[in-house]
Amino acid sequence: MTDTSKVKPPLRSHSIRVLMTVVAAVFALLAASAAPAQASHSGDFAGGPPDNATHYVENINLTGYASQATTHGIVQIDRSVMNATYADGPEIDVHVHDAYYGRSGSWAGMAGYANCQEDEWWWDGDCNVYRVRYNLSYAASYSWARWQSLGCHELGHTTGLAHRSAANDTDNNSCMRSTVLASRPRFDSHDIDAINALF
Amino acid sequence: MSDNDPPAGEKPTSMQRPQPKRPRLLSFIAGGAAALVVAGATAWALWPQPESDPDPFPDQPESVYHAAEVRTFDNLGTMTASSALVVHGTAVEARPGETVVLDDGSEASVTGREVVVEVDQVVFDRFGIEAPETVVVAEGFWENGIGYTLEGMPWTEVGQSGYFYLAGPPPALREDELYTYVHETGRVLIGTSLEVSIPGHWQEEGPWATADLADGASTSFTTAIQSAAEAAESGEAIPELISVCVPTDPADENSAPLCWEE
Amino acid sequence: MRSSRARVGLAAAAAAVAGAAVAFGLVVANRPPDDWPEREAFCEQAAAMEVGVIGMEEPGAKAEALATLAETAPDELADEFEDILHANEHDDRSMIDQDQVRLVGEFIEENCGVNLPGTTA
Repeated sequence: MTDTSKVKPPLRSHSIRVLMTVVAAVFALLAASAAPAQASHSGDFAGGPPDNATHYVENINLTGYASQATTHGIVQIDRSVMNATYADGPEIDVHVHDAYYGRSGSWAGMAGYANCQEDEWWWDGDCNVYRVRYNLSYAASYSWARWQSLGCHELGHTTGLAHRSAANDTDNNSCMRSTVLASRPRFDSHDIDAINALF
Repeated sequence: MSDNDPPAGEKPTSMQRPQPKRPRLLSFIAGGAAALVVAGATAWALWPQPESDPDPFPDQPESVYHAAEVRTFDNLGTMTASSALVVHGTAVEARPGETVVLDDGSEASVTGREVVVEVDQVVFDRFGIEAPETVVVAEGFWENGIGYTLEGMPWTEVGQSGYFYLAGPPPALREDELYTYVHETGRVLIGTSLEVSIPGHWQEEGPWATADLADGASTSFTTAIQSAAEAAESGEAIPELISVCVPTDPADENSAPLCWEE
Repeated sequence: MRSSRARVGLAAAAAAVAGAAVAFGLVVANRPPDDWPEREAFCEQAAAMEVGVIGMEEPGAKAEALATLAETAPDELADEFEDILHANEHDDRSMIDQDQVRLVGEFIEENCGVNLPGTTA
């Protein structure tokens, strides 16, 4: 009589089983680890190489002065090595809007602003897509010359230009000062040089 | 035939049953499944998990907006006089405000960020309103889930204290209780070591260019603020007014604007 | 019978532990450390890239900052930074895996206490 429960299984077979279990566990690990990586894929990243020197600008139902000021901004950009032009479609670099956004909240005291839609720490390049907004709640009172300054200023931001100050705009003639004035409707030579240095 | 099988023709007794295959197989399957579960759970727990449902109002801005401000200030007196309210206080809450979908062709969903400031001193009160216990300051916004801040101004955090130069329409024309900074330089934070911080892109020009910002409690600093407030109170410093407009036909942005100064 | 089941169960349990150990090893082995010799220089550079800090719009400033970050990053992130520099060099965003830069960005934010554009740790 044999107590079968005490019969040792062949060592080799047992080891294979254990090994197979470990392998299964490792496969399970790999399967489990692959899942979250796939799930986190953003999917909405508008990748692709931007054509930095070419600026496609979209005029989105702009009112009279806003439209003309944007054209003025494009003309200013075209004084540099960049080539700005109106367009529509998926390759747009700058979307331009206007509205009576009001004088409350973040709009208080703002005649307009430009913001980057894809600002990423790791990317050494101009922003891929900018949005410009003119706030008619203030700008509707502007003269044509001041509108020119506003269009120049906001389109200037879309080329990567930051604000200028009294200290570095001593001749007081850059539209990139933080406040737009009729007396400063254009880029000065420093602004143009700064854009050209980017390309 | 294995060593464990009974001899041919011999019925197994209760003590000589053949090795039961199914329970053993089940044990193996159960053990294997347990291994899979443990290994999988371990990997899942250790692997960095993506945000499956991103916070629509994250605590930090991810980008800036570059603004063309309607006015700039050369001196502190004018900035003070142009403010609706200048207070010293502490931020006690930061929260999402109203969400609007912009009707400008972008269909962007924009939510203002509101900072509640507990007021411990009213430095200047242009419109003579009753001293408020708290003020709500609009500071930055979220657009489609991305936080934006004005130029180089980090969002005010709860617990930060300082002077707030606040803009807002006259009480009779107010549409809400929100204030905002009268200018990029209108937020002066005083740190725990009394250091003064006016982060922004104002680049050493404007009302603070000549102020001594070394110590938020220093005589020269507090004197500058108080003197400016007194000049604004007395009318020596006058507000810089700005034009505000609405379309004469609210349904038509191209209609002639109706503007006034305030 | 009971003993045999116990052995199989024991084997399975051992396998589970081994699997877990392998899993732990695979995940943790490549995780960058919280402390490394050039951490201070790394974080100093990261602070210059914070949201809203001026200077990054100057020509070449961002490229220089990224190169410095790559030089001072922990070895475990060497491949990631190589890919970032490579993508920038070729002016091609699509050359990089967004999950990769997200993880690196989160590492920087958590270890250096800075707020980088486009990253929420």
